[in-house]
Amino acid sequence: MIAVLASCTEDAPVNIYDVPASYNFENASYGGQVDRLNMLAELETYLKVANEGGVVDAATAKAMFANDSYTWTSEAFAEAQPTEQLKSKTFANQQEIIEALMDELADLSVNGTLTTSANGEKTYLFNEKGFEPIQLISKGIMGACFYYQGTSVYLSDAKMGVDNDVDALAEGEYTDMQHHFDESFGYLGAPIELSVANAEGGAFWGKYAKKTTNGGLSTIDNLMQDGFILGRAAINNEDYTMRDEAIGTIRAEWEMIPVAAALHYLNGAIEDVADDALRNHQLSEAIAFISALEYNAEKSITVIQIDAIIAELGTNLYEVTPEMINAARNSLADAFGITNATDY
Amino acid sequence: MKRFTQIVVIIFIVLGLGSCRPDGVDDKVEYSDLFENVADNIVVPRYAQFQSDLSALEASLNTFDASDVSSLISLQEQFKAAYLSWQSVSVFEFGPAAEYSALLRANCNSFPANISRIEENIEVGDYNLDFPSNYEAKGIPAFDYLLFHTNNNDLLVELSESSRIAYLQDCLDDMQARVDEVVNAWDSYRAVFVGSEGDDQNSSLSLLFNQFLYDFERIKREKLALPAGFASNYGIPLDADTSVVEARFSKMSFQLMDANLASLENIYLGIGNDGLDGVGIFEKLKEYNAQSTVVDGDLAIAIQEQFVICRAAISQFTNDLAFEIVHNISEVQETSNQFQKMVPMIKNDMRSYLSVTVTLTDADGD
Repeated sequence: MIAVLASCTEDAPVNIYDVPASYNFENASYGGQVDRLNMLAELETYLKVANEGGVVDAATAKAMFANDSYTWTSEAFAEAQPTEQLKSKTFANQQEIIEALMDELADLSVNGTLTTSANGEKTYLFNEKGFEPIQLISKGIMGACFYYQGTSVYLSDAKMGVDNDVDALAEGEYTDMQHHFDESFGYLGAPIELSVANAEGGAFWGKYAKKTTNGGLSTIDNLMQDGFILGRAAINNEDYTMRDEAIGTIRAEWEMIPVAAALHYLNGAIEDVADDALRNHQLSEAIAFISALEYNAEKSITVIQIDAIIAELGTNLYEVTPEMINAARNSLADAFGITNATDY
Repeated sequence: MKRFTQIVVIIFIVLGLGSCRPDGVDDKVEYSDLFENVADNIVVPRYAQFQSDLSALEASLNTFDASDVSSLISLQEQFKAAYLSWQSVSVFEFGPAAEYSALLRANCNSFPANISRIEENIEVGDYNLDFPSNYEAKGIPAFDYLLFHTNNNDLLVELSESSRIAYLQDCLDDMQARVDEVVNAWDSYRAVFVGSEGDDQNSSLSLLFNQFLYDFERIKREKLALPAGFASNYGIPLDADTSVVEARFSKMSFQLMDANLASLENIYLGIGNDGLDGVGIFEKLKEYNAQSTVVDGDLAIAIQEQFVICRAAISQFTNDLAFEIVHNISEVQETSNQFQKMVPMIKNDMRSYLSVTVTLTDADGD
């Protein structure tokens, strides 16, 4: 437990409250987010049948995306079908793009050709320019839905400027503000005790978070301890100065996860540059993660920079050179002050 | 008790848990004399030789006359000289050669050649040799295919097509541009290389060691074990495939392997291109009084002898590698075993005395 000293004015007596070591707040509630994570997991599993030569039906994929007349079959939904949907929470202009990618994937799964890595172990389905729709869809949803909701929507003034009368709560209840904050945490997909030392067990962003440790960043500890855990404790104690500081930390630290993941895949693409399958797969991943950076309300990179980095990789992944990948990697690293990009 | 301690130390080395030198080893060995000898008497003259062999190949190509078989033979001979020369520089894939604009290993010698891609490029006439998808369709292996894949009479007919000669010229231009860049860059990189201190991942010691190991492992695996069917992929044995040998069409596999081994042997011994014996890794291991864990005794001598054994194993073959794989697999296996025996001497013993870490790993397998 860490005690926080929060002072309103210099002369006022300090408020002291405890900040736990994990996100184990008794009235935390983010079941809707857990459902959405499980929905994307099932959607991804369905899309990936295309990598084994199976046919993907666009209507089914879209029904999963919008949770419209689709029956979920994964273990997570054995007790009850989810009522939420991914589509409505996805950044508006990306909804159609993701559905168009589903159409493209469905077409490729019938008319396209699988590409196998030189070692015979990995098989992917690319479009004629080498982009991999499956990655653009699933990482696209991670960015335009989970990351967008987690860093921008649920931590916004609109979602934070709501009721937080913690004294009026009965057992098991939570305030609107607490719930909104929990929803942001839910989109991270992290176990409540995620840390640099214990970086396993997450889903989606919570899983990719450990890529930051390759570069020696303390992102996970900062994001969890100084971000989500401190912020929730501040809300529980109606300390909004501290809450807002924590929100700033969350936005800045979470941003390093797509950065680290993109650097990781760019490094891999350079290493496997002569292997069409491995290179194009990793470049598709990298592009999706770089694109995700756009959806943070307080991003530390401009949309123009994001587009420029992606443009450095060209428009045809079959024609990308190691120099182009290196240029994109350097631009991304420079934008975030990273000097050890090859470590990721 | 002393023996027990040594065993414990060895276990740590094998597990890669420690990169510290074994007990009682002199930590004060310096490497600047090694780096100077390697740079001035080995790297620079070898690149100059390769550069000049490529120029000679260019001259042969420019004067090629498809109506004259002696012109083809001279082109083929020049190709062989260049391919042998390449073997002496493939190990230097750090600094200038590792720049993304150079990447000599991938751009000069990605084998086996992708024959259908080469033919497609020539037929379409519109190709960009910078694309990684063309790595296996260019470089020296493209010459190997285009200058040797059938008998000389048929080759002369084929090579009377200007598109084939133009393709060879483009492949050569591509290599020459990269090699020229590397040669020029060594002018300034030489000081960086020689002045490097320490043993971290970017130190000259680590770069030289790792490329030395990597180049040896490529001889062992890509050039021998893989075509012979001794390699595995994540534990799954791979079938023999004689079509993946280096120099498949010119049938120079063993000569190239020997040249590649000689390249590493001379770096190890510190023998310059002029034949003079200077400071090599051998001398440094002597300074450490390094002991082998693979065979009894002096590590410096053990590695020296293992190079001799490996080269002798190759020299006993009278035919090309593809033939020997089919007809004489037991001797090929014996050769492979000798190559394999060298690996722990370099990867464990030498590495531990130099106190560097392995940063490059060849494809998984054996």
